[in-house]
Amino acid sequence: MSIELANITKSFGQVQALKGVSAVFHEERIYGLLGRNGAGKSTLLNILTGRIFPDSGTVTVDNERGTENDSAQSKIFLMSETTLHPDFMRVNKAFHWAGMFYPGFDESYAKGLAQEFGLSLKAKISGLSTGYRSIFKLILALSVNVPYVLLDEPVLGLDANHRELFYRRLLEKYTEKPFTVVLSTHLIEEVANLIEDVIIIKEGKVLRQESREELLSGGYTVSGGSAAVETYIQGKNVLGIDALGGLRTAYVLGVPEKDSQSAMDLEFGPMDLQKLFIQLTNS
Amino acid sequence: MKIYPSFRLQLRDHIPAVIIYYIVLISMALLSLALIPFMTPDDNVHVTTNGVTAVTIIFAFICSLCAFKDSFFLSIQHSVSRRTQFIARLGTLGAVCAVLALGDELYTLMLTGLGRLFPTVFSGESLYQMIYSYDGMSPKGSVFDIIFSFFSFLAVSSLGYLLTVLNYRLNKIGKVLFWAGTPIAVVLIASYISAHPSVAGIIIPFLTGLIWALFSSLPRMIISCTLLTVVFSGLTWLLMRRAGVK
Amino acid sequence: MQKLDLSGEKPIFLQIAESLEDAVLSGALTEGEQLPSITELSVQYTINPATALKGINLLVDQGVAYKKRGVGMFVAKGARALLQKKRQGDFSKRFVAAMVLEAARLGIARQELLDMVAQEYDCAGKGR
Repeated sequence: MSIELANITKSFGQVQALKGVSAVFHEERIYGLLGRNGAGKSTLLNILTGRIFPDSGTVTVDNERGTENDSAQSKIFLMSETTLHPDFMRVNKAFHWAGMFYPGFDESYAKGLAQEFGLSLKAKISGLSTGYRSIFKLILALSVNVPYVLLDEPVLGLDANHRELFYRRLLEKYTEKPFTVVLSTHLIEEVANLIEDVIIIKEGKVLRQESREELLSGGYTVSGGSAAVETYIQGKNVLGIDALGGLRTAYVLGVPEKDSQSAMDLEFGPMDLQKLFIQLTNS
Repeated sequence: MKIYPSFRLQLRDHIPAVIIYYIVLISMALLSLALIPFMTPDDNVHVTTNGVTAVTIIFAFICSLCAFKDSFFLSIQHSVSRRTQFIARLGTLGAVCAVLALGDELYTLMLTGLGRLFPTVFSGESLYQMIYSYDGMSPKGSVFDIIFSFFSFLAVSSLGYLLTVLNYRLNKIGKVLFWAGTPIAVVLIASYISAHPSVAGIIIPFLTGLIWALFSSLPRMIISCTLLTVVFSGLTWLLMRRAGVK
Repeated sequence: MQKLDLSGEKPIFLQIAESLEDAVLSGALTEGEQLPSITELSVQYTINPATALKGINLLVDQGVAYKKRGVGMFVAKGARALLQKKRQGDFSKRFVAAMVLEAARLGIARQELLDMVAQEYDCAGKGR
C-alpha cells in the first residue's frame, strides 16, 4: 500500500516548478520531505492531493488512480499553509464538517487537543494568529485518522512548547496505530530524529530518496588543521568544507579511512542530516 | 459517498439568504397590514405584489453568483473530487429552486387571501398569471405557477453559477475583458442596430420570434429552460473539472 | 531519563540502549521490572519509534531484556551481572583508551597518570 508519483512535471508560466518527479510513500512510515524555499515541496503535495493538476505524470494511491477519485483521495489529508476554510467559519463548525466528510474523524479527540493547545472552539478561523491557524490545522490532521497524513510546514509560527506538544501527540498517535506521515519542513534539525525516510527535493527534482540511516551512513565529516584536512581529502568525494580560522571540517561521501597516514591528527565524525542537506542543496 | 455531505455544504451557502429573503417579503406585507387601521378610504393605498417571482428570479441569480468559491475550497480540503461537487451542486440547484418556487406560491396565496379581506389594499397575481394571462386562482393554477417559477429559477441559477465559475477561472486580464467587455459589446451592438434601421428590421423581428418560439407557452418554456440549464451546467462542468486551488 | 546527545557522535538507538543499561546497573531498573514502552521512549525523546525499538532490541539480543507477548519488555534475570561483565570488557576501550590519549595530548607522563589514577581511586573509596 503506498502513494506513487510518477514523472510529475508542473510549470507556472515560465517557471518549471517540478521537472519529472517520481517518489513513493509507503504505508506506516514517517517521511521527511526536505527542500529549500521554492524547491517544489508544496507544489508536489498540492498535486498529490488534487488541489492543482500536473502538466504530466501520474498519481497512484494504493494502486488506484489518485486524481479525481473520491475513495483514493479520502485516504489522504493535507495540512498546508493555505487556509481553505471560509473566513467566517468557527473552529467547532470546522470540526463538525470534518466529521461529515471523514467518517473516521474523532471529534472528542480534536476538542481535547484544542483545549491542550489553548485553541478556543468558538474562535473564527480568519481571526486566528499564524501560530493558532497552524494549530487548528494540525489538530484536524491528527484527528482525521486516514492512512496518509501530509503536513506542510506544520509548526509554522508555533512556540517551543506547542512544537514539543505537537511532536509528542504525533508520535503517540503513530505508535498507537501507525500511519504514513509526510513532514515537509525547513526545520531539519527538529525532525531529524522523527523521520525514518528522507526525500530531498532540489530545484524541482528529487535529489535523494532513501532511509535516513542509509543517507547518513553514506558519508562522514573530517576535521582538523587546514593543511591536514586538505591532504586527506585529496581524491575523495567532497561535498563541501566549513572553515573556522585555521581549522577545517570537510563533508565527505564514502567510508572514512581512519588508518591511513593522512588521517593522523584528524577527527572523524558522522554526518548530521541538516549539514548534509545544506551541502547537498547548495548550488 | 461524499455526495451527501457535499450537498449539505453547498446548501448551507444558500439557506440563510433564502430565509432572510422571505422574512423581508413577509415583513413588508405584515407592515402594510399593520398600517390598515390608520388608513382612511381617501388614502389611495394599494399594496400590489404582482409577479413577486420576477424579484425572486433576480434573487436566485444573485445567490448563485456568490456560491462557488467557499464551498469549492472547503470541499477540496476534505478530499472531495470536482465530479462529486458538481453532482452535489445539481442537487442543491434543484432543491433551492424547488424551495423558492414553493415559497413564492405560498407568498402569492397569502397576498391573495389578504386581498379577499382587504381588496382595496392587497392583491397578488403571480408572474405566471401575468405573462401567460391565466385567469383565476385554483389548485391547477398554483401548480402551473410553481412549475413556471421552478424552471425559471433553474435557468437563471445555473447561469449565475456558470458566471461565478467562469470568473474564478479567468485571470485578471480575462476578468476585465469579460466583465467590462461584455456590457460594452452589448451597448455597441445595440447602438449599431438602432443606428441602422435596415439591420434592425431583420434582427429585432428575429429576436422577438425566437423569444416567442421558446417561451410562448408553458410547455415550451419548460423545454427551453431545461435546455438552458443543461447547457449552462455543461459549460460549468467544463470549467470546473480543471479548476485549481488558487 | 537522560538527555540525548544530538550531535550525531553516537547513534541514538545506541544511546537509548546504554541509558537503559545504566539504569539496570545502577539499580534504577530492577530485574523483572518493565522497561519503558516504545511509545514512552519515542515520545519522551521525540524520536522515530523504529529507533527506540532498535535500542530495545539491542538489549534483547544481549539477553539483558526479554519480551512478554502482549505485555511489554522486561529486565531479564541476571541482567545486572551480565552488564557488569560486558562493561568490564568494554572498560578499557571506552574509558582507558580515551584517557591515555588525552593524557598524551596534555603531555602527562605515564607514571604521573598512574599516580593520578591511584589518588582518585583512594578518594572515591573514602567517599563510598
